[in-house]
Amino acid sequence: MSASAASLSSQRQRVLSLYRQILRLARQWPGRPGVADPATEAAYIRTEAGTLFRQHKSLSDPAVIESHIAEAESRINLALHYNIPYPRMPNLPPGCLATPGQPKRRTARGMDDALPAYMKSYKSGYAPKIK
Amino acid sequence: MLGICRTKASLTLQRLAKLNSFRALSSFTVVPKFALPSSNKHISTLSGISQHAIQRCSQWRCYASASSAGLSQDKITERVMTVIKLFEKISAEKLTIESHFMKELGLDSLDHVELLMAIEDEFGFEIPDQDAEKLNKPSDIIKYLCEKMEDRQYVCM
Repeated sequence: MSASAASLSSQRQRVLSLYRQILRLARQWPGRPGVADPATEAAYIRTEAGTLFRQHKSLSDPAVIESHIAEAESRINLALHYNIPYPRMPNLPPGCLATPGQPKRRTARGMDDALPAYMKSYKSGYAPKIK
Repeated sequence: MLGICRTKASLTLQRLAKLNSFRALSSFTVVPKFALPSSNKHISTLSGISQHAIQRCSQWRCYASASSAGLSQDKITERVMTVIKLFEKISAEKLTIESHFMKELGLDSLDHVELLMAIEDEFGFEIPDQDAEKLNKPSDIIKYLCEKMEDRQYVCM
């Protein structure tokens, strides 16, 4: 009991320090000169982090929280590496499915499972509005 | 050496600001009439400050203390309360110096992080994580900032 409570509070501290790290990144975001405006991208980083962190605010299972922490860390590292804050969306053109129209449930589950760790929050249909 | 020139240049701006009797509300190192450069711009691109002024201020000694730089307890209180009032998730009616952010004002921990970010932006230095979790009321923040301001000679952006 105390072990799980201790792990929850230390997870809580990690989550808050991740959020703080993301907001500090947004402050000094360099942008890509000529391609992307740093102010727009910084605003995107803040709204995206705010939405996703609040969406999963009331989770209680430590394993699920851990996977979301991994998602946040991988998005931070990817954004720092490529200097692009937006996630790389999966590309699934309509013609490549075996049965035309909406995918069957099994196919949809397979497509969902194939998403990488940093797209975990996008699985339930959440999609960002990139301007 | 560049860092020293920049902070002495910011003192020059501050004294010029006082001559123009302009109150820098957002940060005492920022004067909107001139653009204060960010940390990675070279000192030669400072607008409104001549090379002559930079050479002159390298000859000045820095006697700046917290009170002479306009960072008395009252000024800090005023700035902190302004920042908190501008935070849109807080209703200004319930806000007092002793109101608890989470229990009385209804903020969650993510809002608390955002509020401390706004205060960091205002005062120009970073608040580490262990200190941040203890700052639960405006009075705690004001006390913490007064202690930090006394440790430092002048605030560098």
